Amino acid sequence: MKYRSLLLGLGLALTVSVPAYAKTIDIAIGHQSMCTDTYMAGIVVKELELLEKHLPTGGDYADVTYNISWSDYTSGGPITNQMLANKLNIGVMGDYPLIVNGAKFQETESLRTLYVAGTGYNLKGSGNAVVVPVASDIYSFDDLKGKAVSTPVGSAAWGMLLKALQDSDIGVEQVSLKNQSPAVGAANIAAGKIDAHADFCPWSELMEFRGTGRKIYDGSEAGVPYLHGVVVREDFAKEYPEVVTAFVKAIIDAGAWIKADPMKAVEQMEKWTGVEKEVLYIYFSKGGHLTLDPTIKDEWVEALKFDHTVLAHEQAIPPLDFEAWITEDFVKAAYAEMGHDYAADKASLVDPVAANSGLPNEIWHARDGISTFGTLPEFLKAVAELEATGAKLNATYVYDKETGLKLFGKTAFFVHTPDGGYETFLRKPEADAYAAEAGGEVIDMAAAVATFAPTE
Amino acid sequence: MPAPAGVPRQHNADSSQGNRSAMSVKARASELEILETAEISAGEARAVPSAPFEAGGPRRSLPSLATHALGLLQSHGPSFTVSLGALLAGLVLWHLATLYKFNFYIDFENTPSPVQVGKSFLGHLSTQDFYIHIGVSMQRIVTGYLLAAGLGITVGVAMARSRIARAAIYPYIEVLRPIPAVAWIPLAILMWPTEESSIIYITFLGALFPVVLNTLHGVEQTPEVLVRAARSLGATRLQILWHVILPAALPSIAAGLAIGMGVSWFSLLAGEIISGQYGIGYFTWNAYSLINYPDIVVGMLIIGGLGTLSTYAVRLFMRPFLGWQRRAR
Repeated sequence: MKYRSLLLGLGLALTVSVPAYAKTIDIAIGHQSMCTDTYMAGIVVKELELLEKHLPTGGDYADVTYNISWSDYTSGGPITNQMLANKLNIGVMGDYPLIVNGAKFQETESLRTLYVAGTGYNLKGSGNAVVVPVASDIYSFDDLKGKAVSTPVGSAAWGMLLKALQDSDIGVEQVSLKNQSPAVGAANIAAGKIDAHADFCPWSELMEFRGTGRKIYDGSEAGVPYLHGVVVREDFAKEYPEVVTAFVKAIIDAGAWIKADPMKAVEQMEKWTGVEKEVLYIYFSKGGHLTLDPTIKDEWVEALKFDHTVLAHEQAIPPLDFEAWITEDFVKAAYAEMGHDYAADKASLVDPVAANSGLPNEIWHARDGISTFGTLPEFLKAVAELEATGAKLNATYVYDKETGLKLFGKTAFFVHTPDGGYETFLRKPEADAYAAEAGGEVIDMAAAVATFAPTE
Repeated sequence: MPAPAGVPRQHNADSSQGNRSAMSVKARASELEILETAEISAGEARAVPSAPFEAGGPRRSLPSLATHALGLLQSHGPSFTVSLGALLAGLVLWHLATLYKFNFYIDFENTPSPVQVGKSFLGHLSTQDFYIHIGVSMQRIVTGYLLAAGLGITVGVAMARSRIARAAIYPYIEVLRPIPAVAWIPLAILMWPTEESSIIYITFLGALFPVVLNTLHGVEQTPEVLVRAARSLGATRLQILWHVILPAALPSIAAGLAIGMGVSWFSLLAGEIISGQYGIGYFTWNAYSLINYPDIVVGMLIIGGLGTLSTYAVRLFMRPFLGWQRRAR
């Protein structure tokens, strides 16, 4: 008898749920202010109040008040944890955490999430990188053999590192792989306590900009697209589909706002997140690492499936039914309602090698803003002249000849050829090879600028 | 037979409150009696452990050992059965809550069941890595803890016996004590030469403060009349410290050591976030980053279990030194 009444009590507790008609809709969103690729669906939407702008107010939603809450996390895992506990409805995260999210939800009996939109991508995988302490004598990935490499396990950077190790001659067994969260890894790089650290955006560039780390491997060499996306709890999406569509519209708006004036946008973002604007510019500017695009491309599904095989193999992640998980319904609806062409955006793929060739080099003057220079000699001459006047330069940007990646001038390897030409490289081995072929020499930016210093 | 109602010996470890009452019990005891025992204890406690558990154990014949074991079971049996029953009841409740997806304010819908946790525990038992995690953590605990115990007792005694030392050190103790272990992570990485030393430092910090404060407290509680009596009998400062003050402070120090052991275990998880490769704290943390709930619970229970065992080990170790106390009452 007692057992039956216990069952009854449990049954009652389970069936008591939210009343069908609610005056207040709680929208709880988990985002990552230390992961640049999530900004279009995170900090920008939050600070510009773009979601509020698009939330439905008519029809079924006429009397509704919205209670929007934003929570900031340093990685995707805790967001998934909060979503499982139904404390967050919407989460923004990178590719590997997305897979964990989808698979962990499908492992439960009744709970599911939906992948409703992307935020941005890099076709070749830039954004993840392997960084060594700036004084390290490691210059190429192959030098990592037998060394200690740390990475946030389960992150996109971890997946990239595994792929890179498999692709190289080193193999996973020949490095000592450690799990370190971004902040811990960055501290270890700054202190020179770890041989190398693989991390996601903006940490690698942040370490470069702060002068503590040097990139030896860019995610683009692994060749797997790097993307971020938005997951929504299925029960929430079923109950309030218009709210989810409104969220996707806010992402589209956020992208447009960034593209309209990247310099102003990154200045704002620096205020919101504390990440230096010069670092953010390397992602969000024209020619930057990040292509803002919420569409769900077939290539993304393929990339995510690949990511899942890595996770399943290394960390016994449960299976994931991609058909049930990924839905284009909301992003298509948002595009249609805003009058944009979904098919066109979905079909476009930005490859930095092609897209960035011929883009001008940039100088960010602390007072006068950004100016552009078509050729490297012009750029170097301008830097030399500005330095002679004692002007403060926030940052300078050039492009890697090999991959088309945007680089900080101060971290690039410059090759000076006998004919007076210059080329810039991300990594020393490529610079050395090019210099050997063209009979030039590899110098750093200070040396390159010095030849242009005004004589008087 | 272990002393019944052993207020200080059995339960004082859990709070300095309990310990304080222990001291007052002792203080209430006739001064003369204490004077005698204090005289004897210092020498005896080290030379001939007087606790019955130790005394003559190996010399016992097999049948008498059996009667001894039976006696132990008889005296401990009931409480042992109750403890075991309570643990089992908890396990059954947990199982039922997850089985029926109990969800009334507290939600058990997606919490792992004991069966899932047990399965993943068994799975880990057959991997070598699991033992490395535990071994590495034990090593860190032992190193950090021994350092903390050594330094903590020294500093505690110094603070209690010297006004200047106390004035100089106390502010540090009070300011540093509330800082949570996690907050130390960035600085620990920067300051210490190796990863291992950063982790041990954090574990060490956890154990240090309870040991220092309990030692300080214990030494302060030494009845001044004993010190004066010893002095009037011609004891030197060192002799007084060794034969009077330390024995009198031992119950409190033992309590501090036991609490310190517990605290060092929960500092360990914070420390092992740095480690990134081995350690049971790292194991738990890693499971969290991949949302592997059964493994998280395995890690939690292992930490709990090892913490209990090591605290018990500390008490067992301290027992012979506290022999005088039982006879004093």
